Amino acid sequence: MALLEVHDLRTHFHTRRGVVRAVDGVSFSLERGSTLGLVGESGCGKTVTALSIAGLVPRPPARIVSGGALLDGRELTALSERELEDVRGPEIGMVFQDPMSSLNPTLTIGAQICETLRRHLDLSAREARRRAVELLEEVRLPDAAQRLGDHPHVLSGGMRQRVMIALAIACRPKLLIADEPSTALDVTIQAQILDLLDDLRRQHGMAMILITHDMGVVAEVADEVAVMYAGQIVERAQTVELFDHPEHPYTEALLGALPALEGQVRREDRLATIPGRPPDLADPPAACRFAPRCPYAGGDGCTEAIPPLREIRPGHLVRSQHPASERASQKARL
Amino acid sequence: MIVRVAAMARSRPRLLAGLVLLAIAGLAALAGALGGADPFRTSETLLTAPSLDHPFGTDQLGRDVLTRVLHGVGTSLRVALLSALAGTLVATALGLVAGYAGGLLDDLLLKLAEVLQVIPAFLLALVAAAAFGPSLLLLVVILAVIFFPRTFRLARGEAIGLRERDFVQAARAAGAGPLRILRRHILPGALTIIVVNASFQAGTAVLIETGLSFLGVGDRDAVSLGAMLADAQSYLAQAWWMSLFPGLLVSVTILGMNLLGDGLNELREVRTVMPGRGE
Amino acid sequence: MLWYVARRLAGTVGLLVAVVVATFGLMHVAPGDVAQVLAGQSGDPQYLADLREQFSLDRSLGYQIGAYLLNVARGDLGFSVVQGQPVLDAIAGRLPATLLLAGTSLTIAWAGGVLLGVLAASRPGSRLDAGISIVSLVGYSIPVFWFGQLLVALLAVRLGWLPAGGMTSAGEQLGAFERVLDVARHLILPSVTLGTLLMALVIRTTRAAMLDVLGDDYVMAARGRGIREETVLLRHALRNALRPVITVITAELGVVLGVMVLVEAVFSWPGLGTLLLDSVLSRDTPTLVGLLLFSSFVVAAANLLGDLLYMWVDPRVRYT
Repeated sequence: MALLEVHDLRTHFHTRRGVVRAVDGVSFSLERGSTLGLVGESGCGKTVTALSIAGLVPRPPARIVSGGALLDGRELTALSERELEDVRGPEIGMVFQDPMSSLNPTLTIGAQICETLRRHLDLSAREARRRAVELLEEVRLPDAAQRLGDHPHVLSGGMRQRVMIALAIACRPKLLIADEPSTALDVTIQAQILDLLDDLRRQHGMAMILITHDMGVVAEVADEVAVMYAGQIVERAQTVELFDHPEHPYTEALLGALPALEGQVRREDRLATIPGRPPDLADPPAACRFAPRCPYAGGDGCTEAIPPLREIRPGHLVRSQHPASERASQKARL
Repeated sequence: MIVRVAAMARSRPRLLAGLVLLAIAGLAALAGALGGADPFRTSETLLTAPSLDHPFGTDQLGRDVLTRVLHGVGTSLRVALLSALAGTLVATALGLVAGYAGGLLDDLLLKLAEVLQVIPAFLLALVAAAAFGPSLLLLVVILAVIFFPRTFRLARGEAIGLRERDFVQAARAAGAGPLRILRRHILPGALTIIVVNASFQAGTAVLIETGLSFLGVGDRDAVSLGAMLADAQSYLAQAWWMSLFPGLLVSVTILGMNLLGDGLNELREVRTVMPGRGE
Repeated sequence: MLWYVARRLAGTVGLLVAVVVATFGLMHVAPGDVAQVLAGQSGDPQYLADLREQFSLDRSLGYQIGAYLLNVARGDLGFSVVQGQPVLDAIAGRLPATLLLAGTSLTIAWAGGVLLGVLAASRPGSRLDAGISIVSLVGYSIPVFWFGQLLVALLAVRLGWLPAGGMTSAGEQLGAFERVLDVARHLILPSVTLGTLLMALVIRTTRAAMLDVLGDDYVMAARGRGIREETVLLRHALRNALRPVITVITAELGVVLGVMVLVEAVFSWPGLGTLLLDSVLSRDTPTLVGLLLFSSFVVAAANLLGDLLYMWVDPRVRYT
């Protein structure tokens, strides 16, 4: 049985403008110890998906209208707030995007770590402090013992993110959700943080959902990739398979927009940008949401209904009427 | 149109409630001013309970409480509007200029505001009213002085915040003079918060005016709800209506002003609803 | 950090000096000369001459200000003929009663206000929140003396449960313990009246500050670690929301002094408020000036206290 099974998750926000369908039918599964990269541009719903799994979306105004997430067979969306508080920490750990604002500025690092430890584990104050130092050393924070007494604003962005990671893994969760963990950091630090996450994951046998808008990051770290667009998953495959044979026009565009990495053959001479903008998710039409920006969109199934997610090859799913392999064979037929 | 009002009522209850209450107060004041009844007319019917003849009863001198209440609301509204207006105009102008220009003028005015803020407002009003004699005009001046620090700092803060913004820099680069910049670029941005502040200060003005006349240092020529409450103090056992109606009307007026301020404040705030959208 | 404290202290002293100078300026501007203001109701020419001597009124203005500052620093605020004692003594005599009333009211206001404000913010949009918000809005909009009047009319006059005014019951010989109880009974209505008004302000500010802070990232991060909601509210959110709450709490010390007159008037409470009223009505100017100075000092001290509290609550402030 997979560790995490997200099935047809739909999270809608009731705002003054209407019902915003931020997550609209997302499904994927995650095996123990593996990493899923959840990719997409900002606003596509990847963060809301993560928050929905952890039960952190503010309800109201949000509501998980259908579907859910099974963690080790347990339906998370059916749990009460109290029960969720026991799940978060020991079973699910979260690393948030902005280390500058994700730590309480009025409490010391030590206070925040020990609080988490003593909340879920039965430790004395002294034991908790010792564990806290160990955790900080695990995340490779120099002068770990001194850091306990520091307040967050004294540390740099990279150091704060390490603290966040320490907090997330403190209770040895089975699942780690990292939402753009390196985006807000310097380029030089980004790689370090990603390496750290990967090492920790392997060490502790955690499964990880890595949320990012950066395909380069995903290529390094993820076993499987799910591409999200406008609240839906539009393609899902093993990482190598996806990079070698992208099917969905959006995925192709994302990869085309990637600056050439060393040793790779350049697809374009310039950085390709994707023209247009994502659709407004308040009452979207029942059609392919990428169609307005898709170079291959045709009158048939593209504007009449939402294309279903289908398995175009074993282990490779795509939500499109014009996946690359079908386009190629069409061209060949002409 | 009715649909619009209904929608607004549902989404902005405070604003609507505030406007309604202020409308009531305004109508009451108008009724008093135009009604023609004399609030000072005494009669033989002392301390009578509310009846058809005297819907709010009569006081210890046989005066009709309803008439007096209507006139009293008029007094309160007049004081509040005039003082809020005067205070806001002067303090805003000075605040915007000081915030934008900085320098010695700014330091001096700021120091003045600080000193004024240290003296409790009502005390200052009381002492000043006692010293310089209680007239409505004087009261307006005193209130304007009391309101100065808060409004000045608010306007100053807005000016400081806005003067570094891109569109102001652009205007300056285009050669616009400081007065023009203040008028066309800085003032509009600061306007809402200044109006909200003025609304709350109007409420405070009514509280202070009522309090002063309660203590006996208000304008004797004008009918004041505070003075009526002072009269009521001695007759609490026999004539509850002497306390209830003036107090009710003055509370409605102040509540209206505070609700208006709250409601306008709500309009200002636009909160992002969804997490992860603030990029 | 010590540097910060020293700076704030110096700032406060400077402010107080400015207030004294401003007060002196006010007296200078008022009708009659400064000595007459200081003498108040006394018409004694010898006393006037003495005052002129004491306050160096024949010397230059700078000297006068200096002399006045010196006298104030010594505690000499002049002599009140109306009260029949030095102004400072008159103030000191009435101070305990006001302290008692103010202290009780503020305790009710701060404790109840923060509690209800946090409660309202923890369930935004609920009926509990709406109820608390309405109550605080009304409490903030009703004249405090009318509220007091209503309470007296209902609870004292109509129902007779509590005394209608004063601090003690007249004409009774009571033992020490009974006297304390007696004062306590008299304290209830005025402190509830004043406390409710003050509490309304605290509720509004606390609720607004909490709602603001509850949207911050570290709150979600704490929830993401499974920290219990109560702990999130009190330990994470409230600590960061305290800044504006401290501002309003210390500001209330000034509000209390201003409003005290009205409350003491309604309940005939023998404190500084009634002293002020007497001074106003009897044109006892030295006492008036003394009370103005005294209350300004209290407000300045409260502001300083507030700044020191900021430091304790928000570690980032210590490093500015």
